[in-house]
Amino acid sequence: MSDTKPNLFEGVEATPGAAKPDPIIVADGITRQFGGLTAVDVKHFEAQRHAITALIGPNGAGKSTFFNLLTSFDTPNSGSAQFNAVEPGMPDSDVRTIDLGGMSSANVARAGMVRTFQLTKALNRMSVMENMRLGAQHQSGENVLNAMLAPLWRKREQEITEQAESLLERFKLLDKQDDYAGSLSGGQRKLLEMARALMSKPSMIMLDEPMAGVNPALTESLLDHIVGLKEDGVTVLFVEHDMHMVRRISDWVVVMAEGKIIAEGDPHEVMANQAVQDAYLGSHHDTNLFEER
Amino acid sequence: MDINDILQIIVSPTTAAFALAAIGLNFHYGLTGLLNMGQAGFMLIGMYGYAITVSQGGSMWLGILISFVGAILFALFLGWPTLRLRGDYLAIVTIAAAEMVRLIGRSQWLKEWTGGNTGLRGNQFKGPFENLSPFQPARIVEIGPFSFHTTIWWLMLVGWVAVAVAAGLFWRLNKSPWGRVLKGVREDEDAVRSLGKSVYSFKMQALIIGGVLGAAGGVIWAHGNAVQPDSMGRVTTFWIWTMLLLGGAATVLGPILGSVLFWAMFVFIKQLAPLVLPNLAPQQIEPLALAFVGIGLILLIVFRPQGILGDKREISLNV
Repeated sequence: MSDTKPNLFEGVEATPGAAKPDPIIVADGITRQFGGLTAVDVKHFEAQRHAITALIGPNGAGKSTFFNLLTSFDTPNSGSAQFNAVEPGMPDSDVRTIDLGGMSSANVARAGMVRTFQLTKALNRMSVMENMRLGAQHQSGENVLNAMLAPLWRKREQEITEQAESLLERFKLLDKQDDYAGSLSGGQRKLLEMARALMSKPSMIMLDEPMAGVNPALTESLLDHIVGLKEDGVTVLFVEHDMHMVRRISDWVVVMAEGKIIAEGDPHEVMANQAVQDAYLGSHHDTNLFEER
Repeated sequence: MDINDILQIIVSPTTAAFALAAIGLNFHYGLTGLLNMGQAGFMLIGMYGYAITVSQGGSMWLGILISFVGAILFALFLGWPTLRLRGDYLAIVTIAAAEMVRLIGRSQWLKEWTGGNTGLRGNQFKGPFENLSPFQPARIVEIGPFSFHTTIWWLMLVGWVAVAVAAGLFWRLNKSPWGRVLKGVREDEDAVRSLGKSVYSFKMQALIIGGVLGAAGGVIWAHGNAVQPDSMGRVTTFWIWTMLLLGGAATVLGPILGSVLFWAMFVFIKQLAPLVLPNLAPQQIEPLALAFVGIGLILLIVFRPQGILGDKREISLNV
């Protein structure tokens, strides 16, 4: 799939922390400790704009923690990160660099970097349509004083509803719009969460294990949707376990193990890397890991 | 058994005052999922704010303003440290803070203003409001089964208009984008955060609005009774919770229905008890009535957690 597109990664070295031609995220020296355990220790990380970058690694590698740190759902012990935002509809040269350090997670989302969660956070007791509307930005009716006067926000609400309908149609959820989100299947909830994240017209979407708990039939359409996002110009960074999925849709793969980035590269080549194989299969499989006890 | 007593309590200012406080709690719990266990504290702040201002010579409008500003400051004081934390912390802090208000009010320290544990008598602050009454001359007026003094008719009119305005406010905000964000917060704060909403600020707004309605309920209640700190203890907060859960949280009319049913039940049991148990001493009747209210709340939570008007799919008790 990536072969048909111009290669965004032309000339990028396949080494951990490699510089990209047009990075949307640049992170430096990010560390996060939980007590004595260093969960994340990333020296340098860049994600290329308009590409699908996969973040893979064995369980406990620190992928989700790194995700939380980038989206301000957690605070790093040290390090800094920048988000190179481009307003929707503006040329890529019109970059506004935003320092993610000390920013609230809500502000990160407002800046155009929206995330989903490993454990789907569809709002089950709200209808599918209400979930979608909640994702939209610039609704003045979310101000409590404006909220009291419906004419102030009704027009924007109409626009939001239309946008939501077209997204729901694309994600094949339109006929469910009045159902409670809790009545959807697990896979449909993943789709809803993704569609809801798109309501804010983000320049970047971060998907934390989008395939977890999704049945194989829906996996196909989920993959298509992720590729569709890229075609719309949205940059995608996603965490995944399943190497098949990663190989099919991603343009670039970053491998983490024990909190560090141990390899980066083309999805077809990176799995051949010795460090990656060690991380997945264990380089110490014949030593006693329990001697500390 | 006097059916008129039950009818009278249904329309009384007390019922209106508690309906207001319950609508306020509905903003907290029904809409936002905030566990405010100190709504009686907000009522007390409103009562003191109004009664002290007026008894010290301030105007009625200044009294209302001060009681609302007091509730806003109280909400900021409670919310500032706790709204960033898990919901339980708000519950702990509010229950303690409401007790602090009551204990400070009844202490001798500020006796000059608060009247200590005897509180402020009605004639110290009711004057300006009663002078505005259009029902002159002052006398007892009987309409159907209802027989009240004109000042009570006037208070009832204002009280129920206030309830209607508060219910209208809830209806409008509940169906607005603002209400939608709060309902999102009620279910999952992180999800709402990930969509670019500042959760803390929304929770604070809900806490303030509900608290001001609680204060308004306190002002109405004070006009029907007096300012007496011990009348607004922990138990009062649980009454308000009972009303809200009975009528149905997150509904427009639930808190009003809850308040009406609560007080009607209360008076009904108080009247029924001496008939069924003739040996009961008069001072034992009220605790017995409250015990039945408690049993009612337990049965409600077991058999109909969404309340009478509530939608089970939208709200259930596990926060």
